[in-house]
Amino acid sequence: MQNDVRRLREDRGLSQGDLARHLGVSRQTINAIETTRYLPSLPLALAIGRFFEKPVEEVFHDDRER
Amino acid sequence: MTTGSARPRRRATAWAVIGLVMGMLLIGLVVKQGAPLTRAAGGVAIMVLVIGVVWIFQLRSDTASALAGKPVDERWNLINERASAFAAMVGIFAAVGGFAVAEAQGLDNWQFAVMALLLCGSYLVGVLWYRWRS
Repeated sequence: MQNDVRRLREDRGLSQGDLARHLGVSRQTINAIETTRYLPSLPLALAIGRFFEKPVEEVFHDDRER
Repeated sequence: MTTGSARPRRRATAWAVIGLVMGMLLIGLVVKQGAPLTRAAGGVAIMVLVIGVVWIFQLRSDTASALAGKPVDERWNLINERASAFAAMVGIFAAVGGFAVAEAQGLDNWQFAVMALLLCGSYLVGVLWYRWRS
């Protein structure tokens, strides 16, 4: 499962710590999500989508769909 | 150790108090068996040191916070669950292995049997409970 979290975050000029604070998780969790070492729960994925004002399937996408 | 959680943290203390009380009980039991107090206290000193370090750093470190029983976010919850499952699995293998080795050597092995029964039984209860609850 790939995601565009890093690109979306950098487009907005945010650090991992900034995004972590907005989402109420640790900076390491954001890093783990961006490097696809951790797949977030559905509530957190939805929160990330809401934060970037994008549907969750635009932020996270299955490798096979690309 | 790592830092960086956004969630406001509160220090968890109950686990430290329980650990220290258990340490004191352990010292009492060992001294009661006739061992010198210094030797008994030495055995508990490492535990007290670990408790102290975790208690002090739990507000600044995600790792220490998880060790104190307060995972800072869902990823740390998962890490905590995996680590607990890993430790339990090691415990099961140690208990079953200890039972087999003691049996092979003709030694008393009821402690291993009780421990293995407890660990394996609690695993089965856990599977049934979480299947019912999820």
